[in-house]
Amino acid sequence: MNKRTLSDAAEAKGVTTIMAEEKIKVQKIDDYRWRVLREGKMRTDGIVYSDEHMFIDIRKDQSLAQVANVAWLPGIVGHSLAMPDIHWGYGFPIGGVAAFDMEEGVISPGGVGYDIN
Amino acid sequence: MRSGLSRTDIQARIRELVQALFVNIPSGVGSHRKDLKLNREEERRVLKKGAKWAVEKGFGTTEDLDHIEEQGCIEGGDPDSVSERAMERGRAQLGTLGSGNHFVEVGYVAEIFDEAVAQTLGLWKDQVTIIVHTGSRGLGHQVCDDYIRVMMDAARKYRIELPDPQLCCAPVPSPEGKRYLEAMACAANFAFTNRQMITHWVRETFEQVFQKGPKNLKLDLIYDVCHNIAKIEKHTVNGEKKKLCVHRKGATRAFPPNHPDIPLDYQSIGQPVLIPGDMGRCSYVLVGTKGAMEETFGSTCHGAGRVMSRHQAIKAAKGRAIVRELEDRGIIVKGASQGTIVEEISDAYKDVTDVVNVVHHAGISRKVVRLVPMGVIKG
Repeated sequence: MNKRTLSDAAEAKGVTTIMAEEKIKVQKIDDYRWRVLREGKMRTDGIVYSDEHMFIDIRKDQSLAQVANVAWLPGIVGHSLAMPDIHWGYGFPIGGVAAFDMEEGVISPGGVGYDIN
Repeated sequence: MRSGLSRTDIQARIRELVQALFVNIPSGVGSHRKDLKLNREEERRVLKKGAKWAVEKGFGTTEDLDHIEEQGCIEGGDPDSVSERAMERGRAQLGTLGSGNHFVEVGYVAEIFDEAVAQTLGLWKDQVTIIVHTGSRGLGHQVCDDYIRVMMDAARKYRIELPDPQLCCAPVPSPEGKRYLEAMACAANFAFTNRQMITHWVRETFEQVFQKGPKNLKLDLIYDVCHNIAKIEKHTVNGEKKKLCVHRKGATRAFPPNHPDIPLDYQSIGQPVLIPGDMGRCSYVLVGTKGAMEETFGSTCHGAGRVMSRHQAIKAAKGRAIVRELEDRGIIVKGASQGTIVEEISDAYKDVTDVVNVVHHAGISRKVVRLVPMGVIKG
């Protein structure tokens, strides 16, 4: 699903997108891993798989804030994860992976996206 | 899909092949194939049975089913949880490619990184391969739309605090959560069926163009994976086996060798992972690893990842003859409209090689081969 259609769809529904306004704090773990540090109501850290070069672009859009946002969700197990092809998506970033407890955790259509496949 | 053909066998006829694929595989709404008319009851069966339905109707073989994630059917799909509107949108679109980033790509094995694993996958240098990339079309889109509305209310009802309303959700065991999972399984089953039918038509098209039978063409399905899905899976958390609900959005399952959920013939190498790049560069076949199981709930990347919106891509392509540019690089592209081709220019994507190198070096999957496109059809 593409970005334009997604935001159009969100607008049509009167949904306001609130991105984490504070600057996202990241820490380099190694050449291929970055940690989005737990802040505020995040329940866990985020981990993003990327090299130094690709991370420059990743920092430019809102997708890291989306990794942090996913970490707010109840029952998240492990980290809020993102693959190197991460980019902005509806709620959850595209390239995102998040696991939830079967009792305490949640299921979200935004965590799957529009092109269920 | 792999084939028994080598790059040189098809080089001279690639334009004809692309044209024939374009004719035989409907791209959009109102499929022009006369051999397919779905009524409501039949569509409900598709949503419950997935790719098995397609095979029963003569689209492909039972061997195909063994090489699809979940054998092409996610259990628990309940059509009663899918809205009439979604059903309606699906009915006209089963067996269609769709626009956007969806495509069928004919390419060849350009580089082998792991000879032994490639051999187990039946892949060799210069061999012709085919990738089918499509999903649940309007049906899945409508399911997502419908349940976002449901989940906005559910999040309030269950007092789930959200930093962004788009993260709306419900507890996994809640009635809303269960209904979404049932509808999502239906959409995934629709997607499996859709790809299975297109796979069948790709085989028929090769037979038609090259006047050879299935035994000669050897168009076997290597694997079919989901990219956008939530799955109930068992993972080890703090030394304990636990059932979890794993969301993968633009991510691929990448289970390691010896995992019970991967086909018997791949037990020794791990689950194949197909990473399509943009149409002008290349694609990759990877396999899942133990590292993925330990770090990422058995997941890896899914593609190149956009860096430009469609709008930006159209702007960037202005004044350029994109089809011609691709032809100069030996790639024949045919799309239903110039628009979808322009939106998908290479510049709009990250370089898939960079993406794949990260997951390979991080150890969450392993490179097997690199595929280079020769012909692409787009919806």
